[in-house]
Amino acid sequence: MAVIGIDLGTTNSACGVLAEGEVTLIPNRLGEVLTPSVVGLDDSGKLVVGRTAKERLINHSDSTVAAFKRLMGTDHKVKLGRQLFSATELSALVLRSLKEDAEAYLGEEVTEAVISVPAYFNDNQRHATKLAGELAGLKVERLINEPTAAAIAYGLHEKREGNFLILDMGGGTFDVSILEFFDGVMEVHASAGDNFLGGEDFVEAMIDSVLREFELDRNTLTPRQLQNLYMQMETAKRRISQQSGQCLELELGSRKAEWQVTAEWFEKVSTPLMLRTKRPIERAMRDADLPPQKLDEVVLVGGSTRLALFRSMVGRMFGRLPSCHLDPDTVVAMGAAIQAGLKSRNAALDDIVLTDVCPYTLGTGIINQDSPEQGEYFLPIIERNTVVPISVVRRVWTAHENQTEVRVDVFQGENRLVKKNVYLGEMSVPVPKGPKGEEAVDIRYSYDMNGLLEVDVTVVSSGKTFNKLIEFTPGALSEEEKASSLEKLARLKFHPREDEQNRALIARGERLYESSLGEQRDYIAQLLGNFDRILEGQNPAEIKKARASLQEILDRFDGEDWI
Amino acid sequence: MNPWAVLDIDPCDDPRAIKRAYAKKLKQTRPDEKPQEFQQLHAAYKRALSIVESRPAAVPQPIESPQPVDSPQPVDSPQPVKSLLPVEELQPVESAQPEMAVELDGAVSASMAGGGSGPEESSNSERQPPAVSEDHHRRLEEERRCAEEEAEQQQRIDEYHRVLSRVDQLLESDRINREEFWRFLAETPYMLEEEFNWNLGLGVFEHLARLKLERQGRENRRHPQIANSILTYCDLLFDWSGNRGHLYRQFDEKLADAIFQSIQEETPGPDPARGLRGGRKLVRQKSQAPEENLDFYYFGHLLARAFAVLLDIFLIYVTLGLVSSAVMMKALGKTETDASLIAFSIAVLGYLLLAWIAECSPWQATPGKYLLGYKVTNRQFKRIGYLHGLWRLVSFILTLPLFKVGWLINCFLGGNLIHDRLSRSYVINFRKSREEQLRKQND
Repeated sequence: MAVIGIDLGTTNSACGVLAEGEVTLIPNRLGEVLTPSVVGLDDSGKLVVGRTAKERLINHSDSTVAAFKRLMGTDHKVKLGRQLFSATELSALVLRSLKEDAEAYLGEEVTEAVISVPAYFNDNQRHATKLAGELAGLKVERLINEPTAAAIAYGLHEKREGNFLILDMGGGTFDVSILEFFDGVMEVHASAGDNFLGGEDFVEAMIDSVLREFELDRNTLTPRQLQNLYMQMETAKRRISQQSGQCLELELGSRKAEWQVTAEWFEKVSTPLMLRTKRPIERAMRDADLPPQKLDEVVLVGGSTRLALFRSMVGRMFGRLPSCHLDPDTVVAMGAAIQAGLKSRNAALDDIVLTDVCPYTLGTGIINQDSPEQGEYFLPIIERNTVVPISVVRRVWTAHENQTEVRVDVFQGENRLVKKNVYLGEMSVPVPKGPKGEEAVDIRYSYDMNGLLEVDVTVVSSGKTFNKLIEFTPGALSEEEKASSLEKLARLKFHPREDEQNRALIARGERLYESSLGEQRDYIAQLLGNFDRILEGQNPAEIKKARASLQEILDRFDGEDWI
Repeated sequence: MNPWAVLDIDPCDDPRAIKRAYAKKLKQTRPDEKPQEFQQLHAAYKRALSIVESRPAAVPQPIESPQPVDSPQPVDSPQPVKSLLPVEELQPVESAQPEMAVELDGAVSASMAGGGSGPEESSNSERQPPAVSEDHHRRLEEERRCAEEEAEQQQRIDEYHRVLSRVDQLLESDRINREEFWRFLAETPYMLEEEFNWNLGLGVFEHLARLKLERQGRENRRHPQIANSILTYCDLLFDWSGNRGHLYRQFDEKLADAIFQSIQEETPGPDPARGLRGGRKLVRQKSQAPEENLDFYYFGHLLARAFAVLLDIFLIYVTLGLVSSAVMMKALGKTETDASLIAFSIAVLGYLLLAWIAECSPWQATPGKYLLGYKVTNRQFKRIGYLHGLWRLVSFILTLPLFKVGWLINCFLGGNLIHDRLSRSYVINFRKSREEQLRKQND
């Protein structure tokens, strides 16, 4: 049984499989390898995922949602129609769609997968991703870091040895990893990143700038206008490298305006974001203890690295042109597929070993007797960029007279005060009464290959070990909640696969209808009406022909696809 | 631990050989299958590499560069990402000496070619080699290029002064704390250039720090203290906190403190909802604090519970009841007996309402119960819902007419009283249960 590799992205998702030493990307029901990570409910309450949903984002923004990966591991929920969904559930729906595509393609059931996550995803976000897999009916064999996955794909493809810097900027996250390849070993030296920096932020910055220019507030725009503005800016961003000075017609509240998208304006708007990308790069270089001259290659991964501004900045930083021989949109999925193959011990990969690091420092809170007013101090237990899997023990002592209990808080982060770090959970351990500083506990942190943490606490004097960590994971589910969530998702059904192309086309037609005016609008309405009639006729040959011609006409209206 | 033994090779000076041996071993010690052995192997590998690297020049690995190991700087100074040099030069630039500009150019071009972002790289070491190689022709060319770039450099210097003077203006105005007026900083054209960014960052840092110290304790409406949000915004642009050590060396400690303490107070934390598209509404469902599960629980004691009820009623009587009776006597002219009767009934009604709300709240107890360490739970020892709580309240009222008989029955129910049973809820002595569990675990 095949294990598939999935890249669950902010903007797009993809999946692949390794068969006979070759990676194949699995086409979805529309025959495309990229499935937009957009989920929606249509008027009949059926589930819409992917391109069709993305087309519906503008005129059905109430019941469609995108970029929800940003909410992973938080306790935010999105209301679609009348139902509430967590980011985990929405991700599960995307995964389910990918799973069905893979099953149709492979002709067998798929129950296991390797899912990629941003290297800088924290424990909460990783748990949420794993849970999303489970809700979609996939056993998550392994969570693999996205830049590492990309590196695997490159490593196998190029068969080059040396030090590589991977810069992975997708729709919502930015990751930096430094790897070394030699003799079939892929060793990650350091990872750093920013979980809230990606293509969507550039679009947000553009929108902010436009609204500021017209002295408007976001709330004065209708949801449709806002989505439309978003689409226009997204398209403009993609074109910015080829075509400066595009003129957009904007509809802002009750007024209409023209807006010139120039390269200078875009550069101004994105400068703060560009500056933010430098921080993780610098930190990773510092942690890896590698002078820039020793880097053999700078590799770009992720759609947002297509920005010329980003490329030239990276070029300036390293004095060389970064490379991207593989498609930045799908390379992560390819790497995940290879890892899936590795996992199932595909013979072709027998001589490849991958070692990764944990990107964050993990530790606990301690009381500093000298300055208790500052609150708890952070005691690092596993330092960031330690190679995993790893297990580290540190001993702490009681801080009060006759203390009967030691509370072990689990934190993740780099600040020396715990209140500035991410709280992951806690465990209370009983200790025999005694003067302070007499009793001690050993705290053991074990960090596995998936980037998930386990904590054991041993009381030194009694030798008793405790490992019941009370996890505080926003969005985590108890067994009952998981069951009810599964039930909720099971009630949602997809439309039949074979109709998907027609529906995607109609959704696109409807979007164009909304955004056009006058004669053009009537013309589109007429086209869609015709197409509906042909669909009702249920003649496959005729439908195919009509679809091709409609596609062609719609292509003329918006030449470049915004998806 | 002898790294060579773990790697299964003889001590050697060749990193390649170490890597080869490590790779060979690693394939039998896969990290996911043998985590402990893997850690050992990896530690040995790192150790062997560091032994080789620390070995002085005798090592046959010369071709790399003349000064290979100036990189592993000790941990105490991890910051200096950029060279200090240009800073010292930018200050006196008013007297624009051409040589200075040439110097500066050298730094810029070096960092362009060599990759100016590496943390350990210092442009000093980069710049020496061309000077040593006394190639006349190359030097001429160099000078010509410098002259060409001089004009460009001058533009940057002008821009630097322009921006700084604008910063000064803004600091003196009343718009000092409005972030949108600070955006021009990000919009200067050379912001993405390492040198320019760093130098401007230093300039702005100094100006802000001086102002902050100056206005400390002396702020007024016209001259407000600069807000932390502005400092955080600037930090985002110039990465001061990433170069903390460096800035402390560069500036007076008081100045640096003024900025860094304020930046520390602010934790902006990105808004995860930003960038989300579509959806009718975004709802934040604060996940409940994790509930602690014990292995066993003790029921609350009947008398203690009665005491808790009396305490609650007394509390409400003292606060709500007395006030309302005073109001009634003063404003409505009721007699004292009437008023106190009403006050008492208010207290009882208030108790019922309070019991319902408080027992369903995250405290799971009325103040009286809370004091005793009691908690109301459902039969799974979880917090009860508000509807469930209402039913609990109704069952309590239903059992009231039983009066003395009810009391007598309750005496034999071991703390699980009639209305608890009726409403399928428990009142547990959480504190005792917890202490007992800890004690048991200790033994």
